Amino acid sequence: MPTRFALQSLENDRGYAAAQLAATPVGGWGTVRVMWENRLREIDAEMAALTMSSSTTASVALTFEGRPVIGQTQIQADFATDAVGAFQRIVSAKLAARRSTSVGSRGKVRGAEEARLYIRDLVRGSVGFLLEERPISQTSMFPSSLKTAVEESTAMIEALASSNDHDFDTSIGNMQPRVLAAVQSFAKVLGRAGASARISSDEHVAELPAAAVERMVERLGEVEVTEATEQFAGVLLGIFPDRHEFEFQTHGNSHTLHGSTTDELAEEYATDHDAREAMLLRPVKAWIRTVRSSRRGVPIAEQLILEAIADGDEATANVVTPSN
Amino acid sequence: MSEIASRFGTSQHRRDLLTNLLDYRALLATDDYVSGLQFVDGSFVEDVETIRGRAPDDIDVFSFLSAPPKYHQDPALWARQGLPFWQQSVADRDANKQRFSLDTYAALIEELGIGGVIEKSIYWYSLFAHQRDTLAWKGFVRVPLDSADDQVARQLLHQAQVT
Repeated sequence: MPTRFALQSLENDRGYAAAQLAATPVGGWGTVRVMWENRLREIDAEMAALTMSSSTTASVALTFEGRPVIGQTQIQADFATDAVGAFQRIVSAKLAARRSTSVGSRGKVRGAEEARLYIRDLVRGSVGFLLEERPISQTSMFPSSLKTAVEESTAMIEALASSNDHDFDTSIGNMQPRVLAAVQSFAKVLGRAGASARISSDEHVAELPAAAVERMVERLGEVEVTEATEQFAGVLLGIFPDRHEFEFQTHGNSHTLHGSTTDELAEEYATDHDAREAMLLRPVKAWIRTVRSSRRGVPIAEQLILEAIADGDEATANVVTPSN
Repeated sequence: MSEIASRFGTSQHRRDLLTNLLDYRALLATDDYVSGLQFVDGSFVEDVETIRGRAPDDIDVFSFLSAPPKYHQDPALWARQGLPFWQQSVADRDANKQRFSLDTYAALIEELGIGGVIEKSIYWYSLFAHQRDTLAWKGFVRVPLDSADDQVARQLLHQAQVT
């Protein structure tokens, strides 16, 4: 169970036990006071242990309310499928984005298998699902990539649901198109169904009451992402393979472009000496994909991704291109 | 207890825990606690060996006990002897974990009254009836104080150890 979710349960229990102790008179037999004092000590010890511990694998609880939910026991099957699937797609896109700065808005997400979450249990007391990473045989001291992706996804949704426009715009500005598309889809699933949600990971909680869902749907509906690949003539000043970053000086206005590179280009630059010699500090042609996000027509962010390099004289020979 | 011993004493480790529970019940009897019932809970009453691949660490026990007649007759004796025994033996969780591998809670039926027994039962039932981590439903066991049946249970456990 996610740590925060478990802590919330213990806090609720502690509140009840403390109230019972306060209502128990001093004196008399005294055994009931002993009972509640012992119970409070046990709860405090459990909370301290939970706070100290940190799981290294992904765990997240999705709970739902609203139109698709009946009481605390039933939820529409098609909504549940759509909502859990949409959340999985957010996590998959987030994990892929962590591993590469160049996740496009379409096509198969690389590493989707590694991003897979499993429904481990139903959440009791509310209607929802406990999703977890498949247990690994060896315990690691460090958080898994999937755990980090889940935590970042939850934090991101929390920011997107914020009533603060600045938090929303900042999150959108840093977002890869595939992640944005997944979030838009998740918000639409909730909005269409008239549902509210709560996402509890170990370290974050995203509360999505009806008003926040409505706000997310509206705001995300205003966001547009466009992608276009353009060719530039100029000089490649360098690629930083470890950071997947490039610098390219264009001819004419001598404008220097900065951005990220594809994984393949960064790897070829780092490992292929001849290819590196052919493109560095020489007149070349560069194919650069520009991803622009805007909201209500106002630009929010622009990302440049260097996809290919060719000789400045001949586009077909000595093309250093991603080996898709 | 004989039924519990037969049903749950499926390994030497479990039989050792059950022997400890019998010793705890014997300890209660030294201060004349002979009437009441216990809820036995925790991973001990689940097939935790299969579910989680491990043996139970301890036995969770909640005791609803009737106060011995001597304390009804002499309330000052309760303050002088009864309450200290309760605090140090009946309900001392740390000590009982150490010596018996039991996680013990208890309350006097006389102090609670019928309404209090129902109310406390609802609270402890809500804890005992669900697994800690998953909150999935689970069962627990009720066993009355019965020294005669405890002797039968001890014999069963001893026989199982010998064979």
